[in-house]
Amino acid sequence: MIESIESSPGSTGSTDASQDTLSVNSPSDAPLFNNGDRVEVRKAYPIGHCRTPAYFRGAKGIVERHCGAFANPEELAYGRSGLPPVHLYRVRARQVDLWASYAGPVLDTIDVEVFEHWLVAAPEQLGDEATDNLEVER
Amino acid sequence: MIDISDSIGIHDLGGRLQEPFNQEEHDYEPWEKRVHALRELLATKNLLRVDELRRSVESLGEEKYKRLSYYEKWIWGMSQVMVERGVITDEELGRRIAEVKNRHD
Repeated sequence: MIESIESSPGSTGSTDASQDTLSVNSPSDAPLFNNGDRVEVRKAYPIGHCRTPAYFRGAKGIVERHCGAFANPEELAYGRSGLPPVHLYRVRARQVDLWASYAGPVLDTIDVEVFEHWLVAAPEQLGDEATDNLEVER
Repeated sequence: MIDISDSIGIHDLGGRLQEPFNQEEHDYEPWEKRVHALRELLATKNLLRVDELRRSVESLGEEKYKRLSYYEKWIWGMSQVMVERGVITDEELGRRIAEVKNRHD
């Protein structure tokens, strides 16, 4: 039941997806990442259910968009509430960086939706080919 | 010794080389439709989350995961969660399976 319409805590008033989440269970914190941020997917291999594909762990890319905040499937998988909701991002990476034998164009990218706790900010690096030429709407 | 590959589930197929598979459309068997309907029913009664079913199917182990069909995996996964949640007991399930088996043997 929707009890109140509230903006996410710490929101700046910009119209991102998280403000469309009408729920009494708001995420604890504002999104960590903005569109265009360089991120790296953690190389973690936890026991239990997770939604981060194995091939995408360790991937370097940029945040294409914030998808909203959702109950954590890793917790839901064991009958727990998964709350507070966790921010979800669509991360864009180059195919050539993911697949050793990728023969397609260097510009080919893949978008994968990854939860916030799987992402770390990747430092800006000159000549970081993996993220230099990726384009997203900021 | 436990290594990383032990944590990458058999279900996590993305990027792995696979054999070609049959891409033709096919109808579902009545029993498969019943399994799907049962999952939906359990979901509406808040007895089964899609994430629980996924986790359960993912934990089937390589041998079963490869051998069982899609809906056979659902049956195993759903039963597992129902027992976990105490909706049914192992004993009830076993008894019922034996009853149905006897009808058909």
